[in-house]
Amino acid sequence: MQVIMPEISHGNSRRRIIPPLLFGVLFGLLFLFADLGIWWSLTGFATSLIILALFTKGKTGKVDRSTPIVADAANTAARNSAALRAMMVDGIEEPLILIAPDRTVMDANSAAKALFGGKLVGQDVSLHVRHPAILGALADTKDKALQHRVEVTLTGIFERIYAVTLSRVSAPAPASDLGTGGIRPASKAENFYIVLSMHDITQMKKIERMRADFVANASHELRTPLSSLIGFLETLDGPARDDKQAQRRFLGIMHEEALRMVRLIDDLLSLSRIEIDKHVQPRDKVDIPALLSVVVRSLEPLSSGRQMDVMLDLPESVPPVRGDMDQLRQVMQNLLSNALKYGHEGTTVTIKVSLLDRLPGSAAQAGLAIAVIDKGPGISAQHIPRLTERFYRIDTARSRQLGGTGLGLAIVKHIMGRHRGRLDIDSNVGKGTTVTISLPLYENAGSKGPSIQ
Amino acid sequence: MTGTRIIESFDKELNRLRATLSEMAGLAETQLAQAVHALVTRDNDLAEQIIANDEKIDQLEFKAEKLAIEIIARRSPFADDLRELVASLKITNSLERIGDYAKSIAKRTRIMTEESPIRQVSVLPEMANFAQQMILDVMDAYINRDSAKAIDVWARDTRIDSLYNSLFRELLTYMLEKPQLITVCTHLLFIAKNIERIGDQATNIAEVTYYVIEGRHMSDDRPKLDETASARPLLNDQSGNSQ
Repeated sequence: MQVIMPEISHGNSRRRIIPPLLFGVLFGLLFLFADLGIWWSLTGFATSLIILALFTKGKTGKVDRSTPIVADAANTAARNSAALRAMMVDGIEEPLILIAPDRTVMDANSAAKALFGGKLVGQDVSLHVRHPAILGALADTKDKALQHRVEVTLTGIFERIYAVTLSRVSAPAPASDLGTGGIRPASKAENFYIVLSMHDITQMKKIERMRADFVANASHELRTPLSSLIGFLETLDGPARDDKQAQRRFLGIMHEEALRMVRLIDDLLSLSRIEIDKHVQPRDKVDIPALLSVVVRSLEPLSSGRQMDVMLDLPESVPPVRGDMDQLRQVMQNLLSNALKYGHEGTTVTIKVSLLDRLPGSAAQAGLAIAVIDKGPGISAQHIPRLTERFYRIDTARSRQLGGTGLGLAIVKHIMGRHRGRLDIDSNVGKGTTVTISLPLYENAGSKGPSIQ
Repeated sequence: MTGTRIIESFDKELNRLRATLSEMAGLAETQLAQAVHALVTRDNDLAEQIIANDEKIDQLEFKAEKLAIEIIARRSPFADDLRELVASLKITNSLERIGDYAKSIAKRTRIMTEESPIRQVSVLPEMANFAQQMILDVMDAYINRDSAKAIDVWARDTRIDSLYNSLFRELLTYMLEKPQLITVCTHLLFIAKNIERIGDQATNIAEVTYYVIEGRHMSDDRPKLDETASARPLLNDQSGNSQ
């Protein structure tokens, strides 16, 4: 916390003594010049001293008369309570900014500095907080009402939605002699400050939006297998009523279609679960080599079916990463099954793990990169930026034929986002595709990670 | 004593100018976000509101220009300060253009809502988000005097370009298949182009910012990925994986 300290008035008590003292001397001189004799003038001087004594008692008596130890204790207590309050404000995870009527930021807690940058304090608030709705509400709070509440979406890699409250607070009385850190008001006419507090409602809003998204995106995808099911049901009930052989064949296809719907729904559900938690970075320790061998084993039917090998290329020791075990398994499962599905038959898929000194996009955070390298047809450059879009397919028919849901990479992207990791896709048409994920190591848990691209 | 007072109030004036630019950038960025939101949600009322709001950006531009010219006229600044003042005029210009592009998106939204919805609209929020982040970061770079950040924004423009390329090709193919959608697709192309141009304006601001901070121009040519000038529709595109 960086409190703008007021000028503590050291010279105050001295300044208050001088006028009565002068008055006394003048009074004394007046008596002297009026030729009333030295005694009168001395009496006048003494009277002025009495006035002075009374004056100081009334104004600054408390400080002057109490013993130094008590004064110090009071000071320390006051300072301590101010410091404690500052600590408390700093610990609040919601951004808080104290703004003067002229829009200068007087103080901001750590959360606000993390959101808007460390140079907030002492500058015009609009240099860092630019959202027009917030600035508009600030002006309204200053000129009209005592409190305003607005909902804003802040730009970022992930949008964040905040409920922002601006409230007027009256400034404390001008600095008292106790020196408690009272804040100087900007001017006498505007004896107030504005507190800007922000409450993150992203998750709440996302849940609202998710329901609508689900209906919009998924209904089309769910309809395809469903209409095929209905078609076969009608045939079974009609032309193929007595054809045992056709019935068996149709039931097989219908089973396949039903399974596809289940896969799709599973994928959609896991995507929504990840979305809800996407701002909560996982905290578990995950051992990558163990996870990889489980994934490779689980996909053995697929790889042996296409006569493909999976080769693990691991460094000597692999430090654990910070993550969610189940989600990382899902990531590796999706990436490896893609490589096995789209790689040429009979080729080898390599999973290469390497240590990174610096996670891409981070300042100096070490990480782990896991690359899944296939030898397939490759992906041409114009598709690459859109691969992580939901239901984006380069070749719809082929994807359907291979049982893809169109959600695999979207799930990977969201899981990596939650892990503060990164997903990179690199491909050469005709040669193959390399998909790399980078994750922060467990040891530097808690530090700020890079962002998913 | 008088000397420091003059510098203090000069700084105050410069800060007022910076605050106006910053406010303008915030408004421009929000206009873009809202315009794309109105398009995706087919919200005509919001589109009208955006068109009306453009006036506010123009007023801020006027205010910023007036401030800058006043400072130049009264203080006859030199070196850093002069560079900053000239830069601020260029930046207001770019920000005003960004506002215009957002307004143009809102205007096209009115036509888009009269036609049936098309799926390709869904790429736009991502493009707009990239552009918004560029505006946000370039203004942070300008205000915090961070030339490394300016370079970062400058180099980032290729991402919007490649999204634009991908959409361009897709729409071209789509129009061949469904000629009845040519109106919607054409408007959509212009909208995407507007967002792409907003990215360009952000890189312009990045260049100006770099110049203010370092006192020299960025040397390299900006990486450009807009290759739609030579693009053809994709007919038999069989390359690549899908998922």
